[in-house]
Amino acid sequence: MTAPAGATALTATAATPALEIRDLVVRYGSGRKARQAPPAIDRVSFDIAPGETVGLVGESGSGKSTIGKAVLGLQRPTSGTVKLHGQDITAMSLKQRSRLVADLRVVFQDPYSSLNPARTIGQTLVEPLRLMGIKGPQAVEKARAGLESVGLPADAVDRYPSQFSGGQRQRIAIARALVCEPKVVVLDEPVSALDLSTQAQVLNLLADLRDQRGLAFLFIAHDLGVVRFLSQRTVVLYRGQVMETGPVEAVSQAPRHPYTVALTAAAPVPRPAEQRARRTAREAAGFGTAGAAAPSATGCPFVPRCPLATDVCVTERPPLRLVEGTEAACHHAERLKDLGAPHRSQARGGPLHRGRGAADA
Amino acid sequence: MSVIPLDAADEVATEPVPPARRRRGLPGLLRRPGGIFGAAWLTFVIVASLTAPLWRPFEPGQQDTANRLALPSAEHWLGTDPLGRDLLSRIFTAGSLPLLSSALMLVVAFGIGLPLALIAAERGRRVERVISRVTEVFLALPATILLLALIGVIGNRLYPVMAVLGVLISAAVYRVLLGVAQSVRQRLYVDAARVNGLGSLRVNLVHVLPSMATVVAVQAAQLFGIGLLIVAGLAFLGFGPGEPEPSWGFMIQDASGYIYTSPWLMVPTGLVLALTVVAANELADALAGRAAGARGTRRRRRPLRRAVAAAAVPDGTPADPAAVLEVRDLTVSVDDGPDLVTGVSFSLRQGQVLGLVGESGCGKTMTARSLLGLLPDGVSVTGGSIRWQGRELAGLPETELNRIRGREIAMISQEPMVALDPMFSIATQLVGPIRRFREVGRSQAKRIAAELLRNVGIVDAERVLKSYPHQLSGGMAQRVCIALALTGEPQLLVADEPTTALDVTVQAEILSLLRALVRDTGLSVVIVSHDLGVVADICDDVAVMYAGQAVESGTAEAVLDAPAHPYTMALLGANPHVPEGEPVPERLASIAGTVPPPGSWPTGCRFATRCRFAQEKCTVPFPALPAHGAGSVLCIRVDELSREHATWTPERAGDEIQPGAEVLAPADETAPTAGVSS
Ligand SMILES: Nc1ncnc2c1ncn2[C@@H]1O[C@H](COP(=O)(O)OP(=O)(O)OP(=O)(O)O)[C@@H](O)[C@H]1O
Ligand code: SF4
Ligand code: SF4
Ligand SMILES: [Mg+2]
Repeated sequence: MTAPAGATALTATAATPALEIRDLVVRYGSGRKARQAPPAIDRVSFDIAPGETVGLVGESGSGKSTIGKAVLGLQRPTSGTVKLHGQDITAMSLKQRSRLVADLRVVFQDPYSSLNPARTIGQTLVEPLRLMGIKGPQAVEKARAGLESVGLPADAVDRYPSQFSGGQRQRIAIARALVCEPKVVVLDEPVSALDLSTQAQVLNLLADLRDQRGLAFLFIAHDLGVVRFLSQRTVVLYRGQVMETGPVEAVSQAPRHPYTVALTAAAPVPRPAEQRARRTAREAAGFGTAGAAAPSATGCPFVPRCPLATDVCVTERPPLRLVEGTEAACHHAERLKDLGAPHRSQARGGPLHRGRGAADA
Repeated sequence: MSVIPLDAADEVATEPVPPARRRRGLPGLLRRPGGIFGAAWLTFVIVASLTAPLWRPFEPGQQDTANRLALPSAEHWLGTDPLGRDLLSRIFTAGSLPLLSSALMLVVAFGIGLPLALIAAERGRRVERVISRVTEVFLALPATILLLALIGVIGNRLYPVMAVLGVLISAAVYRVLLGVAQSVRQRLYVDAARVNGLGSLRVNLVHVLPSMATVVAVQAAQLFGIGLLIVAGLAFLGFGPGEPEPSWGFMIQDASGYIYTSPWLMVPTGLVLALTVVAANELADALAGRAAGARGTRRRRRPLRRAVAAAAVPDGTPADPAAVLEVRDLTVSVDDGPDLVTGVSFSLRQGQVLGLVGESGCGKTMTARSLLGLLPDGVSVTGGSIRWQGRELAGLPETELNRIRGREIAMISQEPMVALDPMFSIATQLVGPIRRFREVGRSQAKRIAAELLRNVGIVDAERVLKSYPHQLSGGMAQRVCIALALTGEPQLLVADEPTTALDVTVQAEILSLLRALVRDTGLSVVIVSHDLGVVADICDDVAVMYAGQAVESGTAEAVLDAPAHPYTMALLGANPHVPEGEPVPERLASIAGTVPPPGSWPTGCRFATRCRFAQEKCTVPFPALPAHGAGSVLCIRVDELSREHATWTPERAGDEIQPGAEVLAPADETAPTAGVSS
């Protein structure tokens, strides 16, 4: 298994990262007005080691998909670099990218619009192969094998997308991403349009494929629970900025940033008594309502909702810094216990990092 | 000259036409009388005109001086003109020029407009702006004057004239197609193809163009009609082929001179021209209508058909005397089609919250909507009873339901933005219902509106009242929708997935708001959700639905903490939110396969095809058993399973990549059923 045990943001492995994102800035639009608005992505950096899954979480509009698009070359970054296995691909065209050995593929959220309804599954799967020079019966054979590898019968090649359920379509989309045997896959909310039982099937499938093939995933999701299931590390995004990053267990069990606390506390759990306690704790913490914009572009974007905010938060953007095992961008991370967040020591029941590989070791 | 407005064009295009639908498309088109007529007449005119030299009874110039201005006869089917020439022969001989030159105009217009639209949609804003500016110049040119000037220079040569007209019209074509192309390009399969490295030409040919086909066809049919009129008009003005060559426009002009003496002369030519233009438009309408119809946009409400109000208390279950809402054995069916919901029973006390939970397609929405009589067209309550404060709602006529809707029972839905009208300010949308429900004047209604907004936690109510829906965030819009639902001071709120489209933090706020309303006003709520966490957060009672039935019900605590039905166990196992301090499992519990669609439910236990504990005896019908106090569970093995402490365990690693992990239904059975979902 390729998951590097103990690889964290803090102790980057010596090996070249599968994906390296440095100081990424993305602005949509042009003109003076767009230049004055805060960018959709604001100086985001993180790495993904080979075989590692990094979960990117945040609420709607926080810029998760934009990062995915910039990595894939669907959106040109304003500045910053994206490297794939050490090779700078920031300015590379989509065509050039598709010829890279360790190339990069994608699975999108919406299983209904991500497959062309007018083409058979076979045509959809053969398309990327043809570009790699694999043609004819050989390509069809690969497509059939690809379908089987995601648990679908091979004869699905002759059918149209309308004949499949949402979960099955998502399997097909995964098969399309994997036929070319990429090393890195961007998963943009691959399960959020699915029902719970189907979501579980697809998450299990992704975990199986990753373990089998040593894939690196950039896993975009809005649900920390889902991210915790699939990822080893997580990056929490708010208004285009990284709020916290670190091993997934640490971030979700003992967050060190007020926004992560708000996000974790808001996700309801299906156990009424536990949920009641969580709700009481959340209401006591006193987070402001979502949606308010920060009073200044230079300060912390979470100011209007943050119960810990002080003057310095308005004037100075907090840098990412090490706080008890994760990196958090907060001036007052040490005061987080005032919000009822568990102490890091409390959460240290088991090993903080529960990578798939680590679990086996 | 844009023929359909931009957003209408977009409407038409938003649904790509899949082959299955396309195959069904032609009969669908022919089902519209206008479509049949249009297609048939155009085919006839085109074939007859192009082949006229082969079959015409007379040469178009041949004069029969004895038979001038004749009425139809056996010899001259359509009569003759002032020189005694056969009208039938002349009309169809004349036909090829307008038909072919209009076709030429179309080819030029689309040949320029379509590629430009594709390029502009692909290359992004800067290129689009340049192209759009240029086309704007074209649109601003006075087309008629230009054409006449051109004729002055090159003479009465219609083909070049129409080709130039095509160039001018291409700007309008570009305008319409740009919007469509942009919306198609936003579909994810286009992005997926680009990530795969597909070249720009192939992306356009394979993925973008086919989805634009309908709009292109609609536009072409309409422009074709316009082209015919223009050619005829030019000829009428004398800018056509000169005598003795026949042309529609000149023949009409000629006939207008005899309108009092020989009125018949006008009829054949005028009719053929008019019919051809109308046929082109009818065909366009039928094509556009088919595209719109395929989206299932019909959503008229229809009064409940017949509803069988069964005995209020069947099978001896004692009705809860304190219940405000008592649903017994509710059955909802598609007219002349399968049942969507069968035998669902639950009751709700005042100030309580009931959750309907389950996967999509299990009938949650149908159950919830039947409480207000708001079922889609062609779906109705066909059995059981819905007693609301002692009154039977099933089978109540629309007018009486209307009195209850909003005033006693209100509804909020999943998509707050869809529920609000983008054209009107929030104030306008609130004041109307407040005045209607509370019979107050405008100024007082305004005051109440502000108060309602404050009650749903909107601090700057005055500002929000002045805003329009698109200026609000999703969470704010859902608050406004809740305020809107509260305008009639209802006692029951039906909330269909009210937080599904929202972020978790916003969801938590909306749930807190609902909880406060229940606590402070004694409101009762039926909430539909697929999220067991939401149920745990807000519901007192819950009914878990599967394939149109309530498979397990009881208090939320009993059902979620000690699930008795395998389906409930499986749903809980599939939830990745593990208890505090527990490690996340290596794999999640999942359920193989999918929910069977209405009409193909297995007999006996409907979950049997997917249940890990299924046995022979599960396949024969059996009744629900009481469970969780006042609740019930629909599983024949429930006692055995609880004795064995059965749990729905997670998959093993690697299970999902085994061949045969998924089994496909036979191809013909997978067609969606009547567009009904829940
Ligand atoms: N094509 C675009 N043009 C202009 N602005 C855009 C565009 N796409 C996204 N944005 C803006 O950029 C910001 C980040 O959007 P993005 O789609 O990356 O968020 P997200 O985290 O993926 O959200 P979601 O959870 O809703 O998918 C948002 O403010 C959004 O409105
Ligand atoms: S920097 Fe200040 S406002 Fe930002 S999260 Fe930390 S305490 Fe809150
Ligand atoms: S009746 Fe049988 S098949 Fe149905 S849920 Fe119970 S054990 Fe499973
Ligand atoms: Mg997104």
